Amino acid sequence: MVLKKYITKICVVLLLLVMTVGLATSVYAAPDVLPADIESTEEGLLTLKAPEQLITSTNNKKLPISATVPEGAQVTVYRFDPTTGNYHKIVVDDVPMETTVGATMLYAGQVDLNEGNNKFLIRGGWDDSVYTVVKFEVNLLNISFMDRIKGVISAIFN
Amino acid sequence: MFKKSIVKKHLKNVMLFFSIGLMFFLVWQIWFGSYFLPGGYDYITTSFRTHIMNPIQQWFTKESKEGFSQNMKVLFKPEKIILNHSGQRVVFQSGHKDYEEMRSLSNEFISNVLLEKYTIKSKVSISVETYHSLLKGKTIYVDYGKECDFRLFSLAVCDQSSSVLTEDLSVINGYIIGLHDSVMNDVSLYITDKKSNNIYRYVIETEKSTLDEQLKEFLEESAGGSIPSYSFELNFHKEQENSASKVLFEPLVLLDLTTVEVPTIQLAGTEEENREKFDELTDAVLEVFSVNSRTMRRYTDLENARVFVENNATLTLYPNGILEYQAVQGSHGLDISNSTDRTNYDVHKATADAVDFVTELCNHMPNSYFKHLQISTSLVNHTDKHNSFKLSFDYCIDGIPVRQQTENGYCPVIEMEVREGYLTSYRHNLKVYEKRENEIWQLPPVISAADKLVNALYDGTNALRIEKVAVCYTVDKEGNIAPTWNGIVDGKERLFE
Repeated sequence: MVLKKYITKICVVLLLLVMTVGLATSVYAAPDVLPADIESTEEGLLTLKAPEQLITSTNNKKLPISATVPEGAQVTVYRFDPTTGNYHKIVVDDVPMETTVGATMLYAGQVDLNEGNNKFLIRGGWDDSVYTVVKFEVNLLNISFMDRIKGVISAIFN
Repeated sequence: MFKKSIVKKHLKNVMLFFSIGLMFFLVWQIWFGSYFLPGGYDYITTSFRTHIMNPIQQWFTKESKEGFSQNMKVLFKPEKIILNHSGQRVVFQSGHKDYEEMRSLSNEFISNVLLEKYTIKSKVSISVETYHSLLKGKTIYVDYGKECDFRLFSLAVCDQSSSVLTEDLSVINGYIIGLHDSVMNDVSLYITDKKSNNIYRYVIETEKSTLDEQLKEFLEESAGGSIPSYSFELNFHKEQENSASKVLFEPLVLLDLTTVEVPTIQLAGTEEENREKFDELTDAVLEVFSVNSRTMRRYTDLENARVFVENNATLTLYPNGILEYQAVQGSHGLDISNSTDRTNYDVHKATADAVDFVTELCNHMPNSYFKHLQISTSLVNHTDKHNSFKLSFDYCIDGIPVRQQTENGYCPVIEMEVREGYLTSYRHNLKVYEKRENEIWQLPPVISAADKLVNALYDGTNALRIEKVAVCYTVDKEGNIAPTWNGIVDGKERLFE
């Protein structure tokens, strides 16, 4: 009887331990897919630093992205897929573009641009119910287009 | 009788020649060796050397100036050279297979400008925003990582201290070569004068196609993967109204956004082999420091360090390879100047004296040692202690400095103070490090390292200002080596830990 009590107590303690460890090691992961019409549930959790404008053009194939987020919040970057009409989490070399921000409160990443219009969404949040999303577009101008512009201006000046 | 007189005569001549020879020998010893001078009268020898021998020597040793500029070319190299072209960005640091070629290419360009082999078509001042925006275009940004008096820079690049740009520039820390200048397809040189904060654009008359082709080759060979971003591209250099910042990075700080790989290094040789090497260097060290082995007092202290005491200074050689020289307070220290003129002792003279002294000491070490050294202090005139300069040198592997732990933190391998041509203090860690082939260490992205810094230093009010970020190897007192991010935070150098 006494032995049974001890065994029961040990099992309860072990169960509590497993639950605590399980909770401690579980990491929140943002959804892999977000609908195109998603809106923030809380404003101000994420502030986009780069790009500065929500609609921009560039001729650089790599786009730096940065944001300010409270320490401990998770930042995830998505790319719009016109075939599905949704935003999909960007994965580079099997690693998703997802980070828990540290004490600097700064997030920085980089994405490759496709020629033409590229739509992105950056999400900063604590969990599935508390998050801020910012959508932005970047148009990658092709090099021949820029060369033509330069050629025209050069001809005018010369 | 006659024979006796001849013998007497010859004996007198022999005695006479012997006396004259002895006289010359004794005078030589007194003037150059101070062997027979009582303590406190060393100034006689020093004065003779300074006011008579050195000026005569200078007539015959004009190559010492050329030697200094050659040594500056080795000791003062760009920390990084960044090639930019429409989103492609390649960073060349010492250790990159094409670093020397890139350095040679950019050196040749600026040297030709300074020597007026390239004509400057025009000169305008530009804004800092324009200067930053250049770095997204087709440019070569040569970053020395520290400020340098322009005359010294000019000497290191083209062997002469005065040039066509001397009027505009006092202190610089790098320059940009722009290959496509807006739509006019000019080649331009952009330099910031750090003293006046003016940024100049010099449009250069030169054939750019060769340079352009070489640039394309470098990009094809080296481009790909994640590229580092400047702080200004990420807007990490400015506060935003609706979100407070705990840390700000200076605009031109280059940030690696992914894990960084560096070569693994180790101490060269065993402790025993190193101890023997340090012992073998003793005589050479005593010679370089002009320690008179006949008049000095020497003893071994409790730490087994050999201490050599002279009237005006103490030289200590520790068994772990540390060499320390300290002049007695109130005395001049070791005269290391090649010049008799000690008025207007500026950074140019101080650097020349320091470089010559370090070169002389390193001549007694393996050939490759000198090539690993890099000047790590800024080379600018001070506004306060204008006669005294502290200079330091790093021992670098692939451009990454190795810093040893001391009671003052992690320090460069050589630290010295020069005042009006006299060496007042000198500290040198003689240990040598080498790469372990085919092994690498990984460092987290710099933002992750900056998180630790914020936790340690942020006071809740003002954002930390990070002016520079770089990798260094740290060696603690037990000899454990590790790569670490370090940088200049709010004006002070700190490890990001």
